[in-house]
Amino acid sequence: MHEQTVPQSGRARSCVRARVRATLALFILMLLPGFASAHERFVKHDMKHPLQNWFFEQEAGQFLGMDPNMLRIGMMVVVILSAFLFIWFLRETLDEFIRYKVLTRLGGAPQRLLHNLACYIMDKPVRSKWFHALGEWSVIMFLRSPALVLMYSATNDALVMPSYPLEPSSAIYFKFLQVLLAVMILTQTLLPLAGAMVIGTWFYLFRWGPLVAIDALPVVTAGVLYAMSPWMSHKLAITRLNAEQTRWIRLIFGFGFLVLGWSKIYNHDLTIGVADNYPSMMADPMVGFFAMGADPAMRREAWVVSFALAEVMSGFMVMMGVFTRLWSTIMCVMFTKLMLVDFGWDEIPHIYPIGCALAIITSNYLRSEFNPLERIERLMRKGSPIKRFALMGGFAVGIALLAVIPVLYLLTLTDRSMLK
Amino acid sequence: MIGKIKLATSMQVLAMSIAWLGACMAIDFTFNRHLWTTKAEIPPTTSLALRINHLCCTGCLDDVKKALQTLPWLKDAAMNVRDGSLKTQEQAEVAGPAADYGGWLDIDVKDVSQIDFVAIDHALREAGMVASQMQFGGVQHFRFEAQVRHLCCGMCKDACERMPELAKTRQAGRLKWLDSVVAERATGKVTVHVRYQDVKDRVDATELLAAFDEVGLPPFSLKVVTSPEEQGAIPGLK
Repeated sequence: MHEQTVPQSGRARSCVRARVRATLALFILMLLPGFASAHERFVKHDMKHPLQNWFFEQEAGQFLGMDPNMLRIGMMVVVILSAFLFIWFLRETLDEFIRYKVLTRLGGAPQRLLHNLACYIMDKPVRSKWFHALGEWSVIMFLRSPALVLMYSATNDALVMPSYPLEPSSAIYFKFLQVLLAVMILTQTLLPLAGAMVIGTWFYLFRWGPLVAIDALPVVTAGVLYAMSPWMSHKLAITRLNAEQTRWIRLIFGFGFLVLGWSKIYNHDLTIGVADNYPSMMADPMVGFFAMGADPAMRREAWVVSFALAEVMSGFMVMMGVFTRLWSTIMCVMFTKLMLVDFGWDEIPHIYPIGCALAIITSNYLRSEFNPLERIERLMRKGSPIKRFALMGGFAVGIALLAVIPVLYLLTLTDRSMLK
Repeated sequence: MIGKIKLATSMQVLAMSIAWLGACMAIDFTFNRHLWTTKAEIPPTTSLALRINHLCCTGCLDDVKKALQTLPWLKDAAMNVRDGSLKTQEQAEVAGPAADYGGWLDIDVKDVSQIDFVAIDHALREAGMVASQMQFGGVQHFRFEAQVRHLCCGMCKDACERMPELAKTRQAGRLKWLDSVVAERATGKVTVHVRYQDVKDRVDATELLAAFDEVGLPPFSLKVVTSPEEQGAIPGLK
């Protein structure tokens, strides 16, 4: 058996980059708004009581025209996001403290355990046999799990995800094609072609509206990984992701959840409709924390915004590579809970994002997209720590504000009539 | 033996993705032609719309209208074919095969409390026609009241009331507008509560009739009720 070895020459790297850039540029182009079709979801989502629509729209006399409860939740998320970014920018200082003040006092197994834990949380390489083995298994699972989802969808007369039923008149063709794609994935045959088929099918989902395609965005991560694999994939045991693959998977996976989070506010009736049918979802502690202090009369509306922003925040962190392992672990736990506790069998396709998150968690090639800021922080270490902390704090708050408030504001200006 | 490892170029991936997208669209266009034609809007005043599975010419329309006008509450109701004009019988005589032989009939019912979907179904079948959908809408709060002949025991009542949750009655996304069902054994009345609807929303009563059939308790009448529901007495309040 041979482990995949992706050429590391400059030419090969630039080829991979160009390929991914072209694909990503197309994704962004395709995300332009269009017609949303009301295709049925398998998970029950019928709203039991109407929401106060004005809550999500512009309100006269309010700051930025936003409902004060919505703004409060947005600011709460900004505070949490700023705190994470601030700690991230200063993590080397924290790491030094752990290394020289805490770990030196310990020895043997506790020292190794704490060191590995610190490396895990700070996205540094974890040098451990079991972690390496788990990483290999996770990549194998991530590579193959889309095949299970495709097979499951085909047996449920659906396309790509069970959420989107096929028209009976064309179902048989799409079902056989999905099975063909699943067989290619399971046997690792012509993976670049399989990747193009996944990406092409995702483009086709825009036929049913951008919201449908956004919902299926996480599946594209596997498509991109297949497209970046060698043509002779059937002869290779692909068990590790290289740095470039890890980066693009993290970017697309995080971006997918970021956009999914925003779409939950845009399509608020669908979000609350699911919660109405699965009330246990509303008991999430993080979501409850974000909605703290909101008007009790607006409980359901505040929950929609908090739930969506929790997804936006986790998607943003993963996309930008800030505490990627920590947030991917939270995602893993959340998806497992949704699958086993809240929705049950209907959400078995969640096994796919769990595989993707595991592959990211167990990669030892994680890096952040904030390299220039981290370089500034490194250069400032010789100077005054207060200045350094203040500057990094300023960056953290600025980035968090830009990540949350503008889009939240823009959503209050959007016309939702196309959802009717 | 493994030779030199080759990766797909960006152009190859792009070309294959677009080719695959084209294949999906071609399948869609070939086999889902009905999804590519623009749908006529439902007139806003229409409270009742029937999807008649066979409505190819004016002869069919005459029979449908005659059948429906046997119901006193539809005698003077305005009935319009949604997709414009139909072929005459002479034109239909020489016309070639069509993709769809059915059509929508929009009916303006003045008093919606008169509508009885079972009576419509019977009247059409008597005339040799059938409606695959009977859509009702334009009202935000309403419920259906069905009368069934057979409700002999607790299990019959239970079967009716569990209609919203039984998998076979909900198949293919049916009854998504249904909130809850209450059955009264003494009177044979089954009240079907409909969720809050937008004025533009339409509820298909044939889904409900099919669900009654699925549980084996077909109603002999199914009416729309828009008046407020009587509340039971609250203990301790006079």
